[in-house]
Amino acid sequence: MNESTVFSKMLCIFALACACAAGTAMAAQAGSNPLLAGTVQSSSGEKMAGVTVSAKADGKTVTISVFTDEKGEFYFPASLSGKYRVWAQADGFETAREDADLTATKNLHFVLKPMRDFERQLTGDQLLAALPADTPEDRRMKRIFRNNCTSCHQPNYILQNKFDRQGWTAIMNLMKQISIVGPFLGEDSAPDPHIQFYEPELAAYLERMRGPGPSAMNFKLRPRPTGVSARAVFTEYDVPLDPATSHETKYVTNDGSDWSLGTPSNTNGAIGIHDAQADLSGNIWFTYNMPSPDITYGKVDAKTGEVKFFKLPGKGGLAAASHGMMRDKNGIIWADTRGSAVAQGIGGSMSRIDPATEKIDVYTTPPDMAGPASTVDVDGKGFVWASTSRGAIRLDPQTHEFKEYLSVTQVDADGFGAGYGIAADRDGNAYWAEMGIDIIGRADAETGKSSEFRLAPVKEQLDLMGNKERKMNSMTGSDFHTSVPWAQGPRRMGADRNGDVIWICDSWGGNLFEINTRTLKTNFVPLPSPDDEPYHAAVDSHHNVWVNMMDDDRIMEYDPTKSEWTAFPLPTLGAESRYVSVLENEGSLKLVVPYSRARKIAVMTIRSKQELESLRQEAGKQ
Amino acid sequence: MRLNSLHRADKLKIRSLASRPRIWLMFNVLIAMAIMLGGNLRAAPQPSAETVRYDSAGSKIDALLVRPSQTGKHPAILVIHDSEGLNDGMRDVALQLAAAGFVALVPDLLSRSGGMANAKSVDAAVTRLSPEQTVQDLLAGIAFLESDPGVDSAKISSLGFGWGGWRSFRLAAESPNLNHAVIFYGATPVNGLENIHASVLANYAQYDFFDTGNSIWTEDTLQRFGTKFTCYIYPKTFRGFFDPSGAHYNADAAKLAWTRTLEFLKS
Repeated sequence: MNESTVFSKMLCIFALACACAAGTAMAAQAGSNPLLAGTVQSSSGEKMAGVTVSAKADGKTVTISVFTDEKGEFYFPASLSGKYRVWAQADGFETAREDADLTATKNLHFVLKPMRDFERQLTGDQLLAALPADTPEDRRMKRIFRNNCTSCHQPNYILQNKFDRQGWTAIMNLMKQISIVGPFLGEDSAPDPHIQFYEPELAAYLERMRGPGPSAMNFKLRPRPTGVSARAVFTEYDVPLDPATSHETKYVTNDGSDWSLGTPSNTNGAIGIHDAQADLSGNIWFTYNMPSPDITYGKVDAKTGEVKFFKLPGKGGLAAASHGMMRDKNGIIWADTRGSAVAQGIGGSMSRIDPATEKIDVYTTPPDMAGPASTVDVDGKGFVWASTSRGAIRLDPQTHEFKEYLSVTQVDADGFGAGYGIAADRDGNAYWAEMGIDIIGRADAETGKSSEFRLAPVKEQLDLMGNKERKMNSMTGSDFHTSVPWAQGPRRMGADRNGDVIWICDSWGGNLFEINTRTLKTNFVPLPSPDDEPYHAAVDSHHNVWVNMMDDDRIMEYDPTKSEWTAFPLPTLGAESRYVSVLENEGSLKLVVPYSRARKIAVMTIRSKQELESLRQEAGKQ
Repeated sequence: MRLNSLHRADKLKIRSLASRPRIWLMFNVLIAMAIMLGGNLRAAPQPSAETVRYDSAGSKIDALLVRPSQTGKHPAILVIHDSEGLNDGMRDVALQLAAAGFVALVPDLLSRSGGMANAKSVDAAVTRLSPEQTVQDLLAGIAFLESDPGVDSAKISSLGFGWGGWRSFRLAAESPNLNHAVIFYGATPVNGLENIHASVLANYAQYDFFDTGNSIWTEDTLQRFGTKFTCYIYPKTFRGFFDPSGAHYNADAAKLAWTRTLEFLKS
């Protein structure tokens, strides 16, 4: 036996001892509280994997959700105590409910019955997938529906209901003359030309799909989560309705927790939450982009679920609104502030939030400089960036000086190039999405100059167009509401600052646009389905890209080294998330997912197989 | 005829208008044009401008009325202002129309709330106005022109800019005797197009995507109803390209659009 062999054996023994010690520690931790566990099977007796099981303590505002494993078993984290409502859900089955008093370990056994009319229960991706695409005409109409009706809300909000042609026409008559935040713009406003042009054809199409008669839709439910997806744990925090507005309840009554109730409305005061970031203590800060008398930002206490609102003075008696948010490496939260009382000219403001003291400092752009429009990022050198209506601005966090970078193309035949998503690389360069005109702007930190990347159109859709509609689309272009069928729609993006890649979510193209920040080489990475609509991307330290699917109620993970996608379904129907962020500390990965429609904020963690095995053993003992 | 009583008041002399620098500049231009055309100062045609007040269902609407210098009956144009209200730009348009042989009436659609002078923010005040109420006030303006002995009542047309463009369209739908309707970068109403008998000319800006993008639907719809519709899209222009005081003024496009507009109104 040579020296190296002896050393290897010692190393193995040490590793085994460490593993045993870790397992014992977890078991001890698991044993500190009663456990909530159980099984789920169908009424025909089959064990059901990938079923979402949720638990909420009576009178509390935090919901924990886990998924059944391949044996149909579920195990909640060993942190629950008290009385809980527990429910199990799977697409195509009725919701099953139980109560659990966790004075001792509780094993629940759910039996799910098939649901006859399950369409209202489905997520947007499943409803889109059910729209036929066998003929060129069906593919054309499907894209027209998708690009013009699902930009501001999910397909499931629309397709969960049935209307005849007259009913669909009435809906479009309203939709074509409202603003992005909802108010009717007046009968003297120009109707959205896409909807106006397609209205009769679209009403007939929707009647054929979701009308009183037989439907041409072909439903095929998506697979339930397995493997790593089924090891996810979601902690969802309810956010109270705006206390300064009059609502009969403190929280929304349908918050998407019970899928059988269908996709919730957000016209009941639910809408408002936009971006969210965890601070280094794990508490979650969020922006609020709807007019409110008293909410600019909010904070969720991750331990208690208590929500605190923060107000910055705005105009017209309202609080200033906000939209984008990012945490810097020191744990400081940076966010934009819209309609701030101190903003002048076309300017806006950036806020620096110190989570430790809750102190908020506001820095306002000079009056001749465009203000932050929506999204925020921090580059590898610590500069804070925000997209604007005409490019980007950079804030020096030390001197508080702003610098502006203008888009090379502000407007062209395809529309206005208003900036939306922004990401900044580790070298201090920034990239922003001109969503309406399929352009990515770039600010070069070294030269101070702007340049741009132009995205190729979605060719198949170009080829499906007739001459007249192609002309109409060319004249109208795209904006944040509706778009030409061949649009890529770059919306938001994330930077890999441990690498050299910017990942851009092409909402309409259904792909990620990849820019290598050193070589400036680009590449399209398709999502699993061409109908998928990626919204925002966040990148972890292992270069994995986490994408929130606004229309799908899913988080997708892309592993660029393996070119593999993994889907993590959210426990809420109608979450309509517009953001995802990552917190990595103490060796754990947390994904923060704010729900724009369902008015909650979720934190997703992934358990190891070892953790689950410990819980299984502990539950078996108790 | 929607009005029972019509009257004029507050007549102003031409020099009160000319005291405004922009108007004075306009007169100088007109005079220079007259000289260039071989005339002389004494013989140059001088449009007469006055403010008038007409009745609209019991409310008084102030308006600028400009006549050509020549006597006799003339075709008339009801000019509908943009969200900046009855400003110098609109007065310029009225003067140019009068110089071209039209009687021009420009109602101040803020009259019901005290007029331009009382508006803190003209743009906000104008855009708050009820669409239907403003159309009724414009119909009363048409009736006012019809009763004017200097107007050829068979040749009354409308010309609207931006906010007023939608109203020019609506006026055509509400007033079956309207001769022509001209729209500069205005929205097409979604209802009532089947009632339009006037021929319609639209001048669109390429970068006014919503108004311009609706031009194909507008053309198809009006053709289906047998209405003559002509539209031009001015490349690389924005909404407001005709307004010399605005950020998006485009002299070449404005000149071409005006030439086409006058030809159309005279047709």
